[in-house]
Amino acid sequence: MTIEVPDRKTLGAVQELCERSDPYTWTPAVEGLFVEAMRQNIRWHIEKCAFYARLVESKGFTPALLRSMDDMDRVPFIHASFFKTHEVLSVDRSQVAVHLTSSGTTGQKSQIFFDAWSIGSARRMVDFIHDYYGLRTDRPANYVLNSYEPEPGMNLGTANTMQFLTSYAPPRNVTYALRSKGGGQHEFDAFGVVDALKRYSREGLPVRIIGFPAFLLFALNRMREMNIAPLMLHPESLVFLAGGWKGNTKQEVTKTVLYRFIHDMLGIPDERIRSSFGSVEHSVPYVECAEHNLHIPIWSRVYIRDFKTLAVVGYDRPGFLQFVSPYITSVPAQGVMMGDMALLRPAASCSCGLKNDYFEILGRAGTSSNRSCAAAAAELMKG
Amino acid sequence: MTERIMVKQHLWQGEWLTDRVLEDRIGELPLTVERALARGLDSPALVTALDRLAARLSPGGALHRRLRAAALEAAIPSADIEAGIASIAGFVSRPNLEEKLKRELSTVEPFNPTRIDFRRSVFESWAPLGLLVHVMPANVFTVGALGLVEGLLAGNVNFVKTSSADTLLPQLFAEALIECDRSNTLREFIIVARLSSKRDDLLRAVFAEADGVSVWGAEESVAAAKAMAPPAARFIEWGHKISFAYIAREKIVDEAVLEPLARDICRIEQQACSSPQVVYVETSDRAELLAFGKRLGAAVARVSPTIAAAPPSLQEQAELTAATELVKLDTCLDNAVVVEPDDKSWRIFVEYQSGLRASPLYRSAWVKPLPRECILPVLRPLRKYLQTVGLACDLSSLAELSGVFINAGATRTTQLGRMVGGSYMGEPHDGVYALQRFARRITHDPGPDCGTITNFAEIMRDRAGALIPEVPVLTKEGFQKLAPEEASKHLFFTSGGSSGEPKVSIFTWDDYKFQMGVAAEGLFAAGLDPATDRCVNLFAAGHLYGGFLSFFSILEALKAPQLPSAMHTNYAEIADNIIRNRANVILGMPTFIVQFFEAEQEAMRKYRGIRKIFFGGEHFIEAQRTHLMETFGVEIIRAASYGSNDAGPLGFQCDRCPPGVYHLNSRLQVLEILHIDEDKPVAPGESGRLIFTSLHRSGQALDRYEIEDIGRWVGEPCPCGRTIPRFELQGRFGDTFRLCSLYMNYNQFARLLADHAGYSGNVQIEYGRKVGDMRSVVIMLDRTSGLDPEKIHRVIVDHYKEVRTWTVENPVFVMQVKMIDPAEFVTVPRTGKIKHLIEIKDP
Repeated sequence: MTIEVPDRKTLGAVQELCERSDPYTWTPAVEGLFVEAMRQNIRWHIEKCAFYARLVESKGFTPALLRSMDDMDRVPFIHASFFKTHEVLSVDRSQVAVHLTSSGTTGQKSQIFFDAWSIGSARRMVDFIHDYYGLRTDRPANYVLNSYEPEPGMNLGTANTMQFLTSYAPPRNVTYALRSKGGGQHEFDAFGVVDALKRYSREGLPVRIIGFPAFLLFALNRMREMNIAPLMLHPESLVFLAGGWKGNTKQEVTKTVLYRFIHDMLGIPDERIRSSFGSVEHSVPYVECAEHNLHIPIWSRVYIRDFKTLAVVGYDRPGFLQFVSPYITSVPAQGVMMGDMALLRPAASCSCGLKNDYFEILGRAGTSSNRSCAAAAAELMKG
Repeated sequence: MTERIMVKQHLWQGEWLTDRVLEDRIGELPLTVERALARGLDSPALVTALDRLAARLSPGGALHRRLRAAALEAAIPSADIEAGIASIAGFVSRPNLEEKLKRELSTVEPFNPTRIDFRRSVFESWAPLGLLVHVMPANVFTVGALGLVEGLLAGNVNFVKTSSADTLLPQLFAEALIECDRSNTLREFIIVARLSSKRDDLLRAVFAEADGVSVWGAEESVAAAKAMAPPAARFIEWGHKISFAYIAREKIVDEAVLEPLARDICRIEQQACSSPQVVYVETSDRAELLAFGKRLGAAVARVSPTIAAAPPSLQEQAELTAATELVKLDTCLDNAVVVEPDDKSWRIFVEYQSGLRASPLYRSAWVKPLPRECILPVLRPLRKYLQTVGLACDLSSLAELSGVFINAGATRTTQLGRMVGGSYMGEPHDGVYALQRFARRITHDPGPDCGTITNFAEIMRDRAGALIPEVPVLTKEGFQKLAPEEASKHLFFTSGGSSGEPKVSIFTWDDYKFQMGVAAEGLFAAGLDPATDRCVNLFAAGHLYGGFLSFFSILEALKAPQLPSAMHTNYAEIADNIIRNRANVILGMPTFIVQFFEAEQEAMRKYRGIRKIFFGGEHFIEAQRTHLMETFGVEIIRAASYGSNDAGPLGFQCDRCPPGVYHLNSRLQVLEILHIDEDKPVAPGESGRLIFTSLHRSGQALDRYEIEDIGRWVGEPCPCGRTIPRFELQGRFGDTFRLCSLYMNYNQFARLLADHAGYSGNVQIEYGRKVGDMRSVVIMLDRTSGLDPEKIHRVIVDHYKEVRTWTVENPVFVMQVKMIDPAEFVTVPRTGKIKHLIEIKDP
């Protein structure tokens, strides 16, 4: 199955950039490709999306202004929340292959439309990264998926992602942590997960635990409360965490604490525990290196922007997390600014050897309830 | 983590505790609450303690510094701290608290079951819920303090739960309040604990005992608390609210609405629930809306620099920027326009869609269209969150618009410019009176057994000693020198002058009303029955006299039928009124009453309809009582009240009190009886000076006032069942005397004799002796001075107004001047001094 941009003539550089299988090596050639891909992407959206054309004009921006990698911060950015309340398409509806909703638990859900190219190339990036880190194997594995058991018709971006994450090791057995109750409802099945882990431990195959960190924590807590002796899972087992702590922020623990707990209870080595960052609005994958840092691949650039002025701030200063990437052709999200607070760290601070900078998420940026009497009504009163 | 546990961060009934001890105490909570409620909260002690606290909160004081330090530690902006402490100080001052109690609970004695009227034996009062648990919002320290105060005003034991993110300010405030309480009883009702949300188990244990739960916060906090609260507990939520302005059609181009609105937008960074987050304009026209938005922007540009800005936190700034970015994106879809200055210090979001939206605050406001007929459909779905509407409209639209906003769910409409900080004390908040939500309304009906008891305080067994103010005794001169605030001078009555110009006794209307209520209870106890009695009021009126007016008010309070005749010498008219209207009760002055019956004896003998006489102003001589009872069929003759123009009602007689013995009006007065010569309390049964302190006198404060009467405590309990202390009146001392309910003063006579008659020798005044059928005042002077008594008589009449009025113009008594031998002056045995006054009780 080939993955092709909607128009080879006008988006050739986008295609080429996203086909590169080495996720992290920058060369002058790659840089040139990136710049051209951005120009092409922007021209595409200006032509196909009236709203985007207006936006770009109002900012006095033209693609010609992008001459080198240093100009990437000039790409107009759109706040991710905009997509929660507005449907903006740069392709015809008939071209929409997948329409994903994010699993946010407050207020409205994001709706992002993917044409075949966008979803395909984003997924392929995940393949490239798994290959780079040696996380893909032919050896079968038993799975615990800390996500929602699929039901026909369910449309959550996360569940979709989870499905395809079992493609890196042939699944012998798959256990879902959130069992379907029918009627779109799910229930966390702690006993089921614990029993599965015990079974898997006896069977001796590598185990892959994929999904929300919160449910893994709950399962481990259950093991400890029930005084179940720590298990020693196959050394090639893998924990791949995705989706963040949404909706379970009260129970959130630090990565250090969680990874130690996983190691203690399941015997999985620290470097085989990897978190990832991703969002429906920006599907380029960010996966932890062995030192647990989210290095930025060649398919995107990351900027941290000042909370008041929105000017780009350098390393180690908190601000809005903003991504620039040419991959997406279905909606003009190539310069999306997230609702997350983050900081940028220089590559040299990580001992894994990669020359790519990385970023750290500090939490949500903004307030839904603050100390005044007035603000919280916002959550329930969106337009 | 361990360090935290060892820190004493909880204040339990005045004691600082660690987490471990707190846990133990929570285990004993039921018993703790039971004990406190059994004792009952002392309302007067609470108000007094809070008032003292208000004074200690002034800037520069040690307490102010301590609170400031704790707040600064939590990075609360300095301006917010000052404003917060100042608002607390204002809230807890006595006038404010009393106003709040009167408005919200209709009384300053909420827990004293009181008759609802004088014809039924139904008593009502407020009672605390019991244990009131407060879940306070994080880091709004004023709410922690004021919520506790409201819970106390309603009589509850309060468990204030703050979050682990909070400062220790609520604890420090509570500690300071306890320190200000001289009665040392309030501490039992105060617990402030900083419970982390991780200790759900402790919180559950506390909630299990709650009779009321008061929650501030976001939807989630409120829902979590509601889930934990016992079903039987009253749940009181103070949710997040949103307020907005509405510009009616006729005001759209009115420039005068813009600046007040801009001020409301800028004040305290819109942090109040009453701050406008949206400005609705009555239009559907985009151009008109945008033009208004720009004009408003210009006004905010003028106003904003004049109001000091408190910068937002990092998170709040992020919210602000993100929100603005989103609106800017909407402009590309022609849905909105952003009006913002270069320095981004404020922003107006003009959006062409009506939906109500919260703004990110810090001087951000939406401007949206909302035609009148769309108000209800657009806003009613959000009724849960609506609070204040700042309304700009003409009188012609006022009723309609305010009505529709209330229907939509708002609880308050006000003018632009008054949305923030425009509340008045006792204004309902979010549609309720807080104190009523923190209390229960209870009733008792003991039936006829309760006799003439008006409130349960009269029959309380454990009577706490009232606190005597720590001030010197106040003499009449001192009283006249008091300078009350002009604003508290509502009602002016003539006062018994001591010398010189006429003096007045001044009351606020509220104090007067309260005092007349107390006096009414006394009259009811004395036997006036509104169900059967039709009264004629014959006390003196005019010339600032209090007699007629106060009894008018007393009868009004009793809802007793009244013929307001007042004291005049057209006896035939009075008799006619009585007989024609079948009056059966007379209220008046003994001398006058006797004169009346004399003058109209034929008609009154025939009528024989007067059953009761209630008198005041002077004694009712035994012989005269007998005469009236035998000749005219009068059955009861009793004092209506013991009181004075200066001090108000002081005592009353129930139907079991012998003549001269009175119950103290203890709801109003505190009585001390001190030795004649030194300011020490007398032994039981010993005579002394009566010193009164009034509990309800805002203007001319009456603290330890020497009324110049002598009396003694009567220890035997009264058969009526009242436990109120009793005292016996035993005469006067001092230089003021009373005849025919008129005050006259020895010093005044002496002074005018010196100034105008050239006499500076001894003066002795005898009063009360009968001369013909009138009483007399006899001025006795030294014959060796050689002065002419007739000349002196004229001098006195010319210069002493009272004497002229009541001996010449309207003769009620007689004045005589007598020259006597020096040896004839009566002296005080102990000191050898001349007695100034001699009272003759002539039958």
